[in-house]
Amino acid sequence: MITIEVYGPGCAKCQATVRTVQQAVRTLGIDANLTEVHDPREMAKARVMFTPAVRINGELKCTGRVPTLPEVTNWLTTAAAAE
Amino acid sequence: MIIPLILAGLRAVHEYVALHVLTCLVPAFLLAGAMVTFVSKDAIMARLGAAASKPAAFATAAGGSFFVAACSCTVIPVSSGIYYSGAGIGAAFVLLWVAPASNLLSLIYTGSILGAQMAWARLLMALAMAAVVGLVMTVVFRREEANRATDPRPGVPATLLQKTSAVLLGLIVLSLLAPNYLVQQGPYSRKVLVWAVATLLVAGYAVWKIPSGEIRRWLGETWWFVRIIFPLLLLGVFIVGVIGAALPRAWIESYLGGSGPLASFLATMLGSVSYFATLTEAPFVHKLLSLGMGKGPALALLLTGPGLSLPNWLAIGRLFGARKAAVYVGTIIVLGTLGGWFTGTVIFR
Repeated sequence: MITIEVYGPGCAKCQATVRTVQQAVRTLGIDANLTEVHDPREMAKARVMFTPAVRINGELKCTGRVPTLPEVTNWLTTAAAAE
Repeated sequence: MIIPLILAGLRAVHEYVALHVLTCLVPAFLLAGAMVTFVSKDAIMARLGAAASKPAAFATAAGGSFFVAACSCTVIPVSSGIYYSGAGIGAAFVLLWVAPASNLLSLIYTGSILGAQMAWARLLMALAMAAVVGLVMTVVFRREEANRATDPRPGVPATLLQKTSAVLLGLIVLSLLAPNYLVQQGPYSRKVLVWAVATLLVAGYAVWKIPSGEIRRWLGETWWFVRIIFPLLLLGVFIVGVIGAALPRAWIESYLGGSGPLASFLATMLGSVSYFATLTEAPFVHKLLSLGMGKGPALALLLTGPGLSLPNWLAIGRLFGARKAAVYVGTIIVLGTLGGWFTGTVIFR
């Protein structure tokens, strides 16, 4: 089970990030737990400052931009292979 | 009654679109996209995190936020981020204030719509207010600060901006400034011509020096700004158009005209309560100026408009606590009023 967290206050870019991640998860058909984190305090704890940000299995993958689908797919395949 | 108002609003939108989209907005959006893409966020954070002594922390906070193209909503997580990772409360609030009030993007854009004098006034006043805000927050919450574990982690120093990206940013700034400064009179088509030449220069340089993947990211970020900001911008212009038709000119002149403390206070309150996305404040103020608003109050509105809003107060309150939010908002309102009054009577006479 891969844990994915998407950090963002709910802005348009954050929603786009969530959609991209969901699409990647669906295409790969992997078992993943996706949570959206809206609380700025949680963001600070995770050292996320520029939103949207994506964390996979506790590792910060990107901040401050919407990742592309190939990028997310790549991170997820690596994470799935490591399990 | 309602139809003439709507028509007036639409006329304002039409006029704005005809005169500003190509020569002001397109370059402004390209600049915003370029800032998000090419300015290294890690470099900014490293500088902010490493600043230990107070004057240095304020200066780095102010300098770093100069490169963050953001409205108040985007900068809140950044500010709370540096606060909870060890930066002083003063620096956190300096960043919170300066990033929306006067970053590279909004200053250049203000200059191209309202003239260089207003842009300079905006920069200097924003910095002066930032220093006071930082000081007030540090002094008021000094006991709490002393108890808080502050261990600013020195970050890895990174390059803020690659040399090629810096040149690109410079060219975009040029394409935003040139049409509005070189062509002061004559038909609008002349501005468009200057804009076209400058934009070709930008495009040529980008294709020559910037890797295609980065160009794609840059244009993508630009498109995001267009999608999010442009509708808000049109809405703002529409609202001022309606205001202009609904309120007699004499009203605006008596409440927002001149440079008295009351006019500055009202302008500050208007700016502090309502939400202005980045870039929307300049055309809004431009329209109000033509309806009789004074220049001092105009500056107060320019500063507080993007910097503060009601949703923003609530977010700051949730993050930093209600007391800090109250002190911050109160300080800004007092400073905005004084600042508008001061610049109105001393500088824009």
